[in-house]
Amino acid sequence: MTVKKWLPCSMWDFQGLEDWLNEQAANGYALVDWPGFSDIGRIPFEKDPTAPGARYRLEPMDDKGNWKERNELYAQMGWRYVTQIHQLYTVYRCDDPQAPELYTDPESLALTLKKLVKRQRLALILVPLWIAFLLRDGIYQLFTEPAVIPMNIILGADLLLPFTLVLLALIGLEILLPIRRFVLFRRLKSQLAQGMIPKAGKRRYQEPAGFFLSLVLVSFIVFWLVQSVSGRYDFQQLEGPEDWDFPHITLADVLSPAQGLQLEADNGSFQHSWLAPKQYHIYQKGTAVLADGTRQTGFITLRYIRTLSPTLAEMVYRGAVQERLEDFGIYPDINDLNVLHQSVLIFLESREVEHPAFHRLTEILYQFDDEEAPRCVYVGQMGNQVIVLSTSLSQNRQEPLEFLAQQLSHSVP
Amino acid sequence: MGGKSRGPLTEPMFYVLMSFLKRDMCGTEITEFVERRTGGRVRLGPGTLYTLLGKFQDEKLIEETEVDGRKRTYHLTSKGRSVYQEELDRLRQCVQDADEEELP
Repeated sequence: MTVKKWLPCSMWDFQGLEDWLNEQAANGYALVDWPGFSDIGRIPFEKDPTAPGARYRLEPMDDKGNWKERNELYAQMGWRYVTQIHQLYTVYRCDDPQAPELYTDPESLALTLKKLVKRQRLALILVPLWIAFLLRDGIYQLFTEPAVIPMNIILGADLLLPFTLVLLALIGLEILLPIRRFVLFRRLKSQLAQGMIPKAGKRRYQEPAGFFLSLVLVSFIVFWLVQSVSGRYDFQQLEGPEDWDFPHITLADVLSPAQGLQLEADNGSFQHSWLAPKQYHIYQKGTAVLADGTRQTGFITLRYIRTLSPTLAEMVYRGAVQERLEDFGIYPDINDLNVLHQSVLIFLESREVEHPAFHRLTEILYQFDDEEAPRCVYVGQMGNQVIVLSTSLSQNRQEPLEFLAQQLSHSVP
Repeated sequence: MGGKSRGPLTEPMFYVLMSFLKRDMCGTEITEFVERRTGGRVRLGPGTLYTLLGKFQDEKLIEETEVDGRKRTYHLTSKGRSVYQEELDRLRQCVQDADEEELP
């Protein structure tokens, strides 16, 4: 009958593991097998009347593949192969009290451990490289758009903030564990090379605890993925007039009634997060008759964001500026994405401008080569409010901004 | 030479190399030789023996000459003989130094 017991020792506690196996043997339990990485730290034993007379010893695994030969030699001398532990150790059992110890000198044991330490050193290099490969997009953004990352976290804080913390915790564990293992194995090797038999560590049940921690972290990531695809945190459409109770501007506001306006697109949406409880997005596209009788198609887009504090608003402002600069062609290859417009987008300039209504205001000018007038994007911050305004229809590009500034100054921060 | 770069040999290392001086040996013969030669003072565990055989093969101090089923026989190389001799000279020097310092 198999009995499973919680593993109390860390995997790098060589002496502790050996002591624990021998204690179980003394109590009449023989090790059956060692479960793989998917196990939760429960080790199977079975009742064995011969176990109390048995000795268990661990041998660090080197990178040689001739285990069959080694096991045969050990068997000749009374030591039977039992199992291996996570490619770290091989477990041997001896029932003959007259048989010599597996290792009769700690120095030779240290030699075997040398190759295990080399493998751990390799893991120290490979693990960060592997993590960097998995997170390559985020790392690229960290260098190209460092301000966009905190902005996105603030705007999607309900999910992104805990997800980022969990991700950082996982990365920390993945990097710190090999470092710790390497340091402890090296210390063990050093002790053995000096002829010292290492002492067993404290029994803290780190393997089961590590499993449950990983389980919690992975469960959260699964929860996050389910929430993300469920659409719960997507933008919600603005319906009635009561939904439009926030500082905003429409195409109709910047055109006189005589010019007429036919809207082709008219969308308003809303999103919220802990750190930015109000986030609105408006997009309108329409055709107007200008004063000289000509017709012109234009658009207006507005993002209005209200955060919990001016500091958060400043972070959103800086992220929005950087995101817009990236979008509007300070990098030449942006034109490759401009297939639908079938014209070349030319970035003109980006500058911070003074405005009495805003604490910070950036004006980004760009132009398509088939249009006469440049287009403009304004990114502004007033207290805990941030706006991103883009329009192409107005002859005076500051007119929509002034209209919006009046509304902002009347809104309650 | 390998002996100087590695530092002094451990006692089990020294006796394992010694076991090959007169003839080629397999694992169990080496164990028996060391136990007999040292009067049971030095007993080679299988882990110790196998680790040292592997290390000596890596350093080309010994080489495998015959595989007969489970039995593998090894031969001392000229480099291995040289390393053994250096250790022997070192130990002799140690004994000589101790003798000279011995109180009357």
